[in-house]
Amino acid sequence: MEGLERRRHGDLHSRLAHLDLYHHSLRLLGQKLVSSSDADSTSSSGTLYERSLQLGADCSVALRRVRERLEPEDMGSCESALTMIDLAVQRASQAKGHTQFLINVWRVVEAVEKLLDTVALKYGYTTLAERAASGNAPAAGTGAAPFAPGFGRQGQVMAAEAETLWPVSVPVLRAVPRWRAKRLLRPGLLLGTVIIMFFVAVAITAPILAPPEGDDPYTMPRSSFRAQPEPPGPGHPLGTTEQSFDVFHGLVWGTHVAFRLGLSVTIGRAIIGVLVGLIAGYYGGWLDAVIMRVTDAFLAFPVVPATLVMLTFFGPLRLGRVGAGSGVDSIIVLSLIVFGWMQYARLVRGNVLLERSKQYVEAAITIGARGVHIMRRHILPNVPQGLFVLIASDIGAMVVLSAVFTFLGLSGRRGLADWGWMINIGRNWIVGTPSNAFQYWYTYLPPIAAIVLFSVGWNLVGDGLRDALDPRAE
Amino acid sequence: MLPYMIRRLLILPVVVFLVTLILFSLLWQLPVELRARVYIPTTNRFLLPEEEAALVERAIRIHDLDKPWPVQYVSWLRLLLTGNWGYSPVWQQPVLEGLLQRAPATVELLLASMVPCIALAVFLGSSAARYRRRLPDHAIRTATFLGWAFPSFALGLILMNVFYAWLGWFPPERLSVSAGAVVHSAQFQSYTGMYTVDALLNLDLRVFWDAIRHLILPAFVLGLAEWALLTRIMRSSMLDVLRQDYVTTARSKGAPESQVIDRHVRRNALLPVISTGGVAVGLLMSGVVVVENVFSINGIGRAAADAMASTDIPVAVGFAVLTCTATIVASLVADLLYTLADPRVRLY
Repeated sequence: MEGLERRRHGDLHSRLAHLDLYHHSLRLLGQKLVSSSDADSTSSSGTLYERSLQLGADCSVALRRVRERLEPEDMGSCESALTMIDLAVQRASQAKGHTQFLINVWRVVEAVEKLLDTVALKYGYTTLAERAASGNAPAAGTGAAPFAPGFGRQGQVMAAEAETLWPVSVPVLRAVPRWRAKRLLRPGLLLGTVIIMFFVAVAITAPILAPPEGDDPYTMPRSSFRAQPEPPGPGHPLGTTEQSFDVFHGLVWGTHVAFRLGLSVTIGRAIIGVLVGLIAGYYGGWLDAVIMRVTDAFLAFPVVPATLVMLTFFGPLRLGRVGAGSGVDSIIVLSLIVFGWMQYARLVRGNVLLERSKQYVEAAITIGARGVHIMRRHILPNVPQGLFVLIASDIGAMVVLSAVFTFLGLSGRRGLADWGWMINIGRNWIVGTPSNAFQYWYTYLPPIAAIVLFSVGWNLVGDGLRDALDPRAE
Repeated sequence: MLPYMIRRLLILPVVVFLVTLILFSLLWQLPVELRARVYIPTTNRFLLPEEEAALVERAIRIHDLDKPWPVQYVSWLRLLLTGNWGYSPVWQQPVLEGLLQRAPATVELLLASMVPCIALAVFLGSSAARYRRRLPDHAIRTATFLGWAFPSFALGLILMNVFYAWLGWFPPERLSVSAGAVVHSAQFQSYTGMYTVDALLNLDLRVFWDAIRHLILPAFVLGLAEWALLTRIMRSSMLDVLRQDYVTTARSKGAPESQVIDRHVRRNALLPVISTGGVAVGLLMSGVVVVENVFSINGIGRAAADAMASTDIPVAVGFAVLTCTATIVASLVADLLYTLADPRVRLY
């Protein structure tokens, strides 16, 4: 008997919560309408009108549902509130002018408030207004912001029962986190974005900046076979390397190689890492243990030696055809993916474990939600946490790494428009002449500057994103 | 502490097994003749084709290369453990011998970069945390950012250009010609193969200074990225620890700030640095290849990369085994140090 009683009360509480929620939203909306003057009845206030009418109707429906659970002695006050609301909503919908509309909105709000005042105490329900007053001081009239604190449980009740409330619309509870957008305005992040955008612009306009001679743009054009580099002059804005390859052309088309390589490697890594991390984190147990040991084993294999081995083993198979189409060495891409997904997997696994241990997921499991559902609704949305930071900082690092292999002479071909290859032939001139150490600066400095700028740009973006998304990690 | 250490040591064979399996599965992709050639001692140009074929045939038979892969794997592992890493056609000597012969230069370089790198990371990381959001902090954070983002080979080339070609302060290679003559003379006793240490043991300050002069730039370039990483971690972990209640307690007891930092904060903040330091050895092993190449230091990394550029398969395998061993040992040492440093792990 007592249990039944409590359940009836619980039911009443959730219905009261609905009513309270609608009325609170309506009050906030009303405050907004008050502050917006009579004059600007523009489109935005038009939607405000519509929304408040809708909320008024919602209040009426919610009140009817409350009435079903009230004890007989409260019926009277409930009935009078209901007639009041219905009348006010009807008048508001026909209202001419701002003030008349507002008055009716306030009538609805007041009617509900009066009812809640009498009913709430009796049935042990604390209204939103009370809670806001006792807890965190509410910031008056700032949209949905006052909802956020202390409203979590009720909000979830709403979401669970939203379907039974059809056709009543559920007020949008999720406040748009405006601070995030603002946090993105960081000098470092901006600078990094500008640098990356510059490279993107160069890559896009490459056919105009440095029109390819012949059909392969990834081979630097050469005007002669002179062994000595030539200083900048007409036809060669940045001079030539040894054997007369045009530096400017290599620099411009090198952006294509860099972007292709960086993006393909990081995307490949992310795909493998997310899959492995999801499986390990979600299923746990022995599968997790096995996967983590395999991850450890791959971590014990540093990426440069591993790629060197791959290039030695499989390099000769495609000798002379390095990056025939795109200037990108497929063995390097493959190797950087295979020996570099571990960090992504660990990150994703950590995210999954963290989310899995939260109470609401436990609750979802207890009420018998299926694994696929939990995975899709609760876990997947939390997976990208930190993933983009990792991707951004990795893109630059991958380009540098691949340049290392062309620099060491294990990849690339003669005249490849790749920064690493340009540095490889430029290093022969790094000592300059006895009188001038920087005599041949134009053979090695431009590609070095390009790769440094590329790396710094992506690192700025990665660091900036991390600081913006996770303010605690400094 | 003991159970934890034993558990950690039990993981070791598993990781070693998996690493060797990865390497073997790569090796397995190669045609059997190439894998057999690894074990043929000489590349004698005067050998007739049929004689060479007979040699390959014999190597396949002896080393079980015609058996199913598990047998091959075990026999390959046995060869590795007994020190038969094959013969390098480029170096013209057994791979293990060649690696060991070039090891002192690499070890010297690693030590010269790691020791100051770790010391500076701990010191600067903690002072950045102490002077948070003030000038030292900003300076150190900018330095770590640049150190991390700057590609090491590009930095090495620029430094060479400035400090060698222009200023003439720090030349490449390991020794200058005159010092090299001293080192290779009969009076100079070679103890370790590391020129700085040997010069000190021989009481030859001139050679010592020369060796140092050649070591500064490569050690700096090699250690910079790791320094940046460790400094960042030291700083953030210091900030974490400074927020702990026991630090407030220590301060409210009236302990002077320096003592609070030394006794309560730095020791605890070191834990993440130790565990990252183990992982960062992989970074160093990758960096060695690049730095030795840029500065023409005849160590393992450069010699191996040169050999691999001429498709020297035995050297590639040997180099991979060596680096993997180094990283596995380093992470083991880091974990064991962690147990020594962390009282919470020590208790159970």
